[in-house]
Amino acid sequence: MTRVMNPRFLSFGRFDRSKARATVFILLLLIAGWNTVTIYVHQKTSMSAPGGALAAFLTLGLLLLSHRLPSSTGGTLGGDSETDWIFAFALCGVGVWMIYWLPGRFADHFWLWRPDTFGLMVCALGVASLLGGTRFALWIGAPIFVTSVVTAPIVQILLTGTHPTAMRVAIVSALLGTSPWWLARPYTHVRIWRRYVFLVPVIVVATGVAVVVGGPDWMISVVAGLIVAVGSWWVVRAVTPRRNSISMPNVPFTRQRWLPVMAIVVGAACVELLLPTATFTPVSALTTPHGTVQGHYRTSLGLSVTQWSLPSPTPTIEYLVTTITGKNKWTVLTYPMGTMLAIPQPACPNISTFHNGRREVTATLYLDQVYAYRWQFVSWLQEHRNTYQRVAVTIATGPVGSSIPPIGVTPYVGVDAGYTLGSILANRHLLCEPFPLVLQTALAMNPNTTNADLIKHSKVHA
Amino acid sequence: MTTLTTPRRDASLWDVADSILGALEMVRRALFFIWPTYIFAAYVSCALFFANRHVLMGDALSRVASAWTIAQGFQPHLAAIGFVWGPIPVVPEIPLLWFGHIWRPLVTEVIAGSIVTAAFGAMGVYMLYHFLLERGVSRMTSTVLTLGFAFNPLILIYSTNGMSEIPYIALLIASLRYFSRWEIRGRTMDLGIAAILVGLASWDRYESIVATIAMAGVVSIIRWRATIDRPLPARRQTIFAHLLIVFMPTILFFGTFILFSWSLTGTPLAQFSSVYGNSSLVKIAGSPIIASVQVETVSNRLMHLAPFLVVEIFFLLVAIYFRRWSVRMGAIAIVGLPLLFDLYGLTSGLQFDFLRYLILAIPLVVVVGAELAVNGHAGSFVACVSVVVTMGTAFWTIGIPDMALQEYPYHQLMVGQEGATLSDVQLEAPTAVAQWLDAQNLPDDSILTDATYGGRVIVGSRYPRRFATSPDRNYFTIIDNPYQHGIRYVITVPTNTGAIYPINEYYPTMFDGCVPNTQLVFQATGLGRPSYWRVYKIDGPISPSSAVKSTHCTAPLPPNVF
Amino acid sequence: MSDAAALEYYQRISERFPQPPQDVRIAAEEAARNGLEGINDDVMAKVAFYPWQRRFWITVVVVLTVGFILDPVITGSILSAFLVVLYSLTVYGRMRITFTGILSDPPKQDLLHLVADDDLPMYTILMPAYDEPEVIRNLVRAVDEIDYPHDRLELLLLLEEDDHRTLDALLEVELPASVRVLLVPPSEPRTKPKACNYGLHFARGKYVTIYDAEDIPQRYQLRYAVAMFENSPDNVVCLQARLDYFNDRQNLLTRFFSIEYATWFGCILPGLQALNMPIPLGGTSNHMRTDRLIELGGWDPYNVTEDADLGLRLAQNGYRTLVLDSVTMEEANSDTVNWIRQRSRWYKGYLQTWLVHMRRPRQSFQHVGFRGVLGMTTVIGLTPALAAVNLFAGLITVFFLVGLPSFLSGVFPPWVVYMGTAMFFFGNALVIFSSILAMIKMRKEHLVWACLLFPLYWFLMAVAATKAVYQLIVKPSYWEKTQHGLTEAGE
Repeated sequence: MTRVMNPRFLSFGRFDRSKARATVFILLLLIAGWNTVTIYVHQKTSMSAPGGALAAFLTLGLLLLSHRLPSSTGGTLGGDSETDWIFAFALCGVGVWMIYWLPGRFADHFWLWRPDTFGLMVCALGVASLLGGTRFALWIGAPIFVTSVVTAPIVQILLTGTHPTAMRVAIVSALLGTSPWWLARPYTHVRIWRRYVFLVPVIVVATGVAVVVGGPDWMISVVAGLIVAVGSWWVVRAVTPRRNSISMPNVPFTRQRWLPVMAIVVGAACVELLLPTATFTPVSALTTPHGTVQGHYRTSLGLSVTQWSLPSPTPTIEYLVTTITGKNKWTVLTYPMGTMLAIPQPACPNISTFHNGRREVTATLYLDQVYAYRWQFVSWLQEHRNTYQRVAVTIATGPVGSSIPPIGVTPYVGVDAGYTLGSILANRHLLCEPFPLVLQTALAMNPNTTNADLIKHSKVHA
Repeated sequence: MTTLTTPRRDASLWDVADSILGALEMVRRALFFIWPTYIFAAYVSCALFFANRHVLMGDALSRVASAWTIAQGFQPHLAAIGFVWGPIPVVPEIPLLWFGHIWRPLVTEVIAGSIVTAAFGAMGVYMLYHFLLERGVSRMTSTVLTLGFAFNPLILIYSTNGMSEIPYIALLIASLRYFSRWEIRGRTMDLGIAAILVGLASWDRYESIVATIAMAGVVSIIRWRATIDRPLPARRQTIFAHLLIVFMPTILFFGTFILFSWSLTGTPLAQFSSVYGNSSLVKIAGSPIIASVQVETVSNRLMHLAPFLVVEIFFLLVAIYFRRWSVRMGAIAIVGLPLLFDLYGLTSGLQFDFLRYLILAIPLVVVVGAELAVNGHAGSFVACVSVVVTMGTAFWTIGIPDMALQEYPYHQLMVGQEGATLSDVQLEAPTAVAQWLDAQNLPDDSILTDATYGGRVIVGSRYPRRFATSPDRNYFTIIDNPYQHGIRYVITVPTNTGAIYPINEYYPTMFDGCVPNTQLVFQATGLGRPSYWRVYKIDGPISPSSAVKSTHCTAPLPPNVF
Repeated sequence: MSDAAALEYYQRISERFPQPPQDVRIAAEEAARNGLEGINDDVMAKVAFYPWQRRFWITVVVVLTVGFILDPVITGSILSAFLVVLYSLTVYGRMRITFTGILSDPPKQDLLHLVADDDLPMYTILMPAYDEPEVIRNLVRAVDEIDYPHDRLELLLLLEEDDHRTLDALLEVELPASVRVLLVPPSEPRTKPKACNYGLHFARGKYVTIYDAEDIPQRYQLRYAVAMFENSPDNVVCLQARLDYFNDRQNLLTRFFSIEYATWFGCILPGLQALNMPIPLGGTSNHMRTDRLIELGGWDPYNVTEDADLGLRLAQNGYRTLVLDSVTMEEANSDTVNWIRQRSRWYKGYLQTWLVHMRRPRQSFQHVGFRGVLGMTTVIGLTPALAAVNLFAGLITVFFLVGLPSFLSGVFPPWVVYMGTAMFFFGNALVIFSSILAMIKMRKEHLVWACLLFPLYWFLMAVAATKAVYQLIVKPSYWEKTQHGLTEAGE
């Protein structure tokens, strides 16, 4: 009992200068990447359960600041600066590729998988190798990997489903929040079974409290996440055996290494400034359903999602229109179904994003050879008197006599998510030409388009 | 120690005779050494005989059509292999088809496919012979069993026609030989080679995975028994290691196939799920092929094909029980389990009702016979008799049209009748279409067709690159907007032929001339299904929506035509 | 430490452990450092790149850079095509050697021809050490356990004069009679081969071998070596025993290391022997005829993998190395960063060795034949070079398969893509497959699941190789000290 009562367990270990510098560096990065951070928070909020993912970051941070490593020899193991640089280069190379080139392959699924945050984590690992040495990077690799996986929106959707109960929201948020601890053995030296045994009650407690507190989903998830982040850290520290613990010496930030570190911070800030953001075209009236309404629902944050089908002249083609309307432009933008933002460059520049009237329209093709279907997505952004709307038109084509499986109103789940990865591989050559059908549809949706626009576009790919 | 020196004497007649006899002996040995080439030559001659009389099989033709398309042109464009079938019968055909312009029958009569299967067949026969010898079967019995296998009518037919059965059997037998070597000698390297060969077979037919599983099971049992004196963790580890050896090549080969299929076409398991794949074809209503077959029918067919298989198995069981023979079951399991899987597939509707799915019964007769022959003269006698009788029963079975729809034409040819009209595919009309299209001097990718029926036209053409067919990555983009993508001609067939033809799916009324901006420019009729072939010229943009709108049809179909 | 204090310390040590007279020591040290120069003057790695080699490599780099500036697509295509071909040949060569080794029957210990005690000759064991006080106890235990008449056994413990930590620890220990402590005078380069050359000068044995302080050789290893030497032709000058690890189940890295060693000593060396290619020696347990070794000039003090170099030098002079069927247990490095340093030293040494032995290419071809040069290049030269390129090439392959940025698709013509992808999947899978076969052969089936994770090991090797290439250019004779004693207590 005395162990649990010992106030030392609330400490962060020896809080030396290098840890202070690490904290400063992370804060600087957060400020430099303000735009990305904002979008991320909004996306999570739009999915009604920000708590889990955000708590995972918090847990990771607490983990980093409180690491303890028992040393077997009693001496210190030296680091190696050449290896640190090689690791940093390799990891940062992969991370940069994941941030800038890979998202172009994801097209419409970008907001579902968020490869850029994954790439960001990989870059962070590379920087960690510079700051703390290769050993530090290797040991922190597992918790970072877990954090980057659980913070992807698809994980949350798979676990909570699209219309979760409060209990489910709380449980999932709690689970995601403790995730970095599962692979944190080198930091805590706690056997994995013990970690399961001690973290489960934390999850249960957090869930209970969150559900009792009540309120909208996002509040429940935040409460659950915070409780579990702090609580699990406390509990795990309490059961860490105290034998031979020596704080792992980080390679100190020498003046030589501050230069590359500051260069990274400044570079990240510059890149943030250069990234294009979403343009919502002002229109005179938002698009409202004018066909058979197939589905409609509202998320708890006031997003309204509607899907309707337009009459089609042939049985082989189906038109489905999906609109997402809301008061917050970021949540409208990032709710994971549909369009890809112009960040970053798609693989076919200037063509798969084209202008129709004043609108910037993105178009993507999916091929499915199961039943020889094709789906083309065309989408654009518009706003009217501070209400933002995203319109996505699906043109589904299939052979005679078969019923075309529709694209659901709710975001992708389960098996569909698996297919998205397949189509990423398959769409090695993204649609690089606008279809006449696409243009016809765009015309149908916007009566202001002139024929001149239409003719101009049909000549893009002769 | 006395030293013997040969006294010198002048060369006499005896010396000359000696050296001639020695040379002849060397020649005899060399000629004997290359005996697999004789088998190969025999198969190729039979192939030429059958091809000359225009008896072909549809799947072989489609494969040669794909290979022909790839072989012409500078870009490899390997995606044109298509991923419904494995690469193995197709890829070896590609180098042969580089000579397709010089000797046209390579393409038009599918000789390229025949050469590939004949080569595999010879390889399989060679491996079978050495498999038998290494197991201890006497030389004479081995020869009889091997020849009985090689010239079994069903094996003969499939070694000559470019289908994928014989490469599968050949790789399976090769794998079996090395597996048997491992059983006898215990060198793990042999097991590794066996695993690689059975993995390669997965590039031919996916059913070889069952053979891999059978091999894994047998290996586990053998290793379990062999390590009886070791502690339990060590026994588990050695079984795990050996299972890895057996499964790794299959997982790798089959996995890369799935991966490339997925990456290039977007669908991982096209042979199952594709619109051209098994399950959807089997479910087509009105098709002459019945979905699933009764168990009695299948066993009836098996009894017709290889009745002495039962005889042999009966003998073997009796001998094991009464005479306490020791029998190695490994080889029997590796050939038997895939056969059982084929039987299951037939009765459950997974596969079509073709006789060739029972072809594994024939090597099984030989393998079971090997076990009998190893154990004495009585066994050898039973084995030889079984194999010889199986040749006869196979011949008899393919003479029954109800049982062997695709092989019946071959039987007719073998008895001296004409079989061309019974052949699986009739090329009269498609060849006419091909020749007419060739004469139009069109640019590449300007003729829209499909792999199912278009293959028959492509083999008749000298310029396969002019055709745009379904393995093409952009195919569905093209079919949506043919004119904008450069298509000027479309090949159409009647809509009730019983198989999926995408052009009929998207433009069902084109055959009757109901689509605006199209005009009928060529028509050919012939035997078989489809009997009408039409070529339409596109004068302006068309799209699937326009296909249904128009009600003005220029060339309606004659009644009762398919 | 000041000179006077050093001298006083030296005198204190040499009271306890008598040293040869000073002039003899100086001469021996001089010979240790420069002895090779007198005999065969272009086989030292003192200079990493010979002038013509330096010119050649600089030209290559310049041409590539200019090519990339002028037309990156064509230069990239040519470079990538060349690399793919090189990779394929390397994989083929390595697989051929491995499979020959797997198929060869292992040399059996010959119990019938063991030599009687009275006829056993004098045997010298060289044991160089630096800054390793904790391994002295292993030393004592090892000497006790080696089964060889102690009056014919001479163990020379070679320490640097200023290695105070070890010497202080030694002063408190009672050493067996056959152990003789020799202090190497301090001079650059401070390397293990230079210390061994120094010890060789004072060796009295007919045969000599090297053991590291923490090695645990098999009890009868020396006897077997003698028996094999006596029953082999004269041109067999070296016997290499098999090395293995006692801590192979400690963590994933030690498992990887054991798999690598088991494959190397169990399959690749026998394969090289069967194919008549030169055999690079291992770090320890290489038993040699002393007189021949002295004739050849001993080890190269400037080469950080002097054992590989010696093996090649033996082959170049027409001598043979055979594989000895006896095991020496070592400790595998269990810490990743430490491992990377050790491996980068080995790779740097391999590159140095290859560069040295290819200084006179025509001569090399004459001495060991085309096959020998090919084997040497594949196993010694290309292993680190391709491992370094591996990092970059692997990333590009993954980018290509998943990402396909448009500027990359022009760089790789289709046949390069197909061959490269085939190499990526099938070549690597074949390597893993062969290592599983090797594990079954060597009866190490508990390591088979680690074979499947081998790509992680390749990543670490690539990092080490990059470091090695960098160090080769910048500081060739720097010796990365490996830290030992990392096995966790109680494991």
